[in-house]
Amino acid sequence: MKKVVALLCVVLLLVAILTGCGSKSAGTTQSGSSTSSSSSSQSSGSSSGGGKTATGPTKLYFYAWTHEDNMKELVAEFNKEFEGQYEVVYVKMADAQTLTINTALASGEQIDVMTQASAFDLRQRVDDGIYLPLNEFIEKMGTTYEELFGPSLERTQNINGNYYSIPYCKNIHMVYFNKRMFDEAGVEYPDPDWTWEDFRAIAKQLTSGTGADKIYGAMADYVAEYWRSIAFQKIGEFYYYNDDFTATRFDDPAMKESLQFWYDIVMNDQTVVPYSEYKALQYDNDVNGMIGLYQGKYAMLFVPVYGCLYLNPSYGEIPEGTDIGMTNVPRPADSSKPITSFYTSTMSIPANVKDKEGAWTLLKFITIDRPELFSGAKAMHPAFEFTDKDAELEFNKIIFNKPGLDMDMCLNVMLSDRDLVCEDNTIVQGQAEINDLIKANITKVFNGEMSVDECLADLKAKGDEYIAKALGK
Amino acid sequence: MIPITTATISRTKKKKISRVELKENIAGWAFLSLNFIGYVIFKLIPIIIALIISFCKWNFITGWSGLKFIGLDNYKKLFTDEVFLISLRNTLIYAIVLVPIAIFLSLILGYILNRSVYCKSILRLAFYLPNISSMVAISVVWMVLFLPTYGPINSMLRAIGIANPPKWLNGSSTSLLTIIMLGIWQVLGYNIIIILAGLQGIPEALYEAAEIDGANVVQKFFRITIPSLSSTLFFLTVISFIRSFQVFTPVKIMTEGGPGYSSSVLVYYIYTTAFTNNNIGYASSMSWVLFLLVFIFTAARILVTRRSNS
Repeated sequence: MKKVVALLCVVLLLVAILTGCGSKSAGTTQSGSSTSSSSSSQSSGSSSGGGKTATGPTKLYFYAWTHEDNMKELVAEFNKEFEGQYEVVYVKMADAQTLTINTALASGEQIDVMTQASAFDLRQRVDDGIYLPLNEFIEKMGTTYEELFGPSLERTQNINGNYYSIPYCKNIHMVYFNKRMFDEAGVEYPDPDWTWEDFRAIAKQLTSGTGADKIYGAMADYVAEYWRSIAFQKIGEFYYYNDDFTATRFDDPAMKESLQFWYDIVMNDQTVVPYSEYKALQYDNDVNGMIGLYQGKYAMLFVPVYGCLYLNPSYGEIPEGTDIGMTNVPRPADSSKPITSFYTSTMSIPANVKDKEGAWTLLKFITIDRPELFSGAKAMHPAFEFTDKDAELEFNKIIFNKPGLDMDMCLNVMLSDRDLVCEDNTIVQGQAEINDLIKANITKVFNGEMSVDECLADLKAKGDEYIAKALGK
Repeated sequence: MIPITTATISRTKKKKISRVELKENIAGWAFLSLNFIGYVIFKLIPIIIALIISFCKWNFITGWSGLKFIGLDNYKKLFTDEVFLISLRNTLIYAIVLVPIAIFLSLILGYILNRSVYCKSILRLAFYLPNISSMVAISVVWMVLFLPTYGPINSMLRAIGIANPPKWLNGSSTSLLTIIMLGIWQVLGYNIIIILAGLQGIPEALYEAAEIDGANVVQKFFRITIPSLSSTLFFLTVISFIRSFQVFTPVKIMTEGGPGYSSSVLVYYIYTTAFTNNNIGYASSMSWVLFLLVFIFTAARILVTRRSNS
């Protein structure tokens, strides 16, 4: 009896292992649920498996990390517009982390369009031959990448003359502020054309209290590395590379000016939430960042435009009468007009895609034709340059129609003229090591364990070494 | 006709015993095979594959065709990689500081709990709770406790007159120490349970005899308790070292290896190298260094156990 039970268990285990390790076609045709990983789920208009079928539309698999509820309209609209020809199947990934999407790519899943959260990931995948160049599709549109997305984006997304991604959003850094705190302190609202010195003075006026009751003038997301804002404004794209990307430029005066300014306001003026509290109180979480603003922990918040998405009672009760305003990121005194940086999230098509035209149709629909369905729903501006002012206004109304937000102010500020600098870094030599070193050193600077000069000298010396090593290989 | 002799009866008995033994062996192997198959597929094969990958440059999304053999380059890089050397040093410091302190404290507390103490069960539960709690939740709570500006710990230190309390997680010289403190607190309960089990195996007659001979509490502790617990303590030491080498969660949650690389540990650096920077080959080489470290302690434990058994 014991032997029979033992043998039965062994057989069951072997069957289970062999079934689990079977081919993906056996898994995907059984049901509409994903077989790639336990962290993803699918929503679709139909429950049958992937790939072109003899009868019926071609299924196109779109991988992203947006909640399924926010994708329903996009899926419905696309399937309606391309009824009979294409059908989109949305696969939600667990998060935006590199590992999640890399696992999906490595597992051989059918992916027609996918998102990525960083330019570094994009460049790595391009170098590994994962992505399809999109030049031919842009040419067929009768336009150029620069005309579509502007010169700054074109410079950052151009990889050896090819474009492998279409940005679906432009996350422009802005400053949200709590109007009531300004009113109570008797301080005028920031002028959209204000300078960094104006910001410093206002932050001092709005800072009060000590210890746990201290109210800060401002909070800046350290993960987004606002210390380099002035550097981006003065240097431009690829801010820490020199012109031919063979060395760093941490010895540039703009770098010193940028880091020194933030060091002074965080460490000397103490008008900005310090790094230790930022980490411990989890202000690096977007939701907590906005909650801190409308609960009055700080008066101003440096964050991309989409921060207003979290002005939503589902995240936390917004105090009655809360009125959040928005203004530009301050500009350098010697700059003629507002200038701010932005970063993008992009979408790409894997090189092994079965239906290139179908994948491009889907990608273009999401990023160019109907951006309000994907990026608009996430309070993100589309990456393309608006040519129609009315369309631009309507899109901004979608973004800024949020409880507690002064929409008129936001529209006025957003639609005003400014220069934009793209933060995306698609240069690969030394980037991973330099980014790690920046994180390590900047943390020490804002803990008071390293001076600004020491930090920049170390970044310069080691950064040049990393680039030289990478180029020497 | 075969004459029935003693030899014949004996051979028949051996044959019958062999068949029974064979059946028992098959059943035994069948039950063992469940675990063994799982071990081979999910542990042994990945370990061998990691060894192969450690001699390659590889980003797993390129598939197996993207595997590029580079010989010993990954291992050579280890000697010049400042972050790896710092992480290795921090891991060793973590283990060397945590293990003796944790075992010493557990021994004292276990000895006390084994004697007449009120609310013994509640105290044992209280000590063991951190061991079964989510390390992520513990790390988040401790981050707030150790807030340098107005956290409870520093507020208390300022209240008793220490004007400049430590920066704890935000100081390069104190971040690793803070993580060690958390580690000691978390592992105390497990160690106490093991030591209590050992203490309860010591015959009371030994203590009575010692008392008759005039031994005091300290003498009984060092002459009876410690020697009797030697194998338990050795087991705990080895297990604690092995676990210490694999510390990851508090570093990931509380400091992310910072400030600077002051709290970066081996497993955390392996994780970021593999899954943030997609350098699987180099991460595999570091994994094998960690494996060898752990293997040294495991082998020591096996050797000592065999010697004491023989």
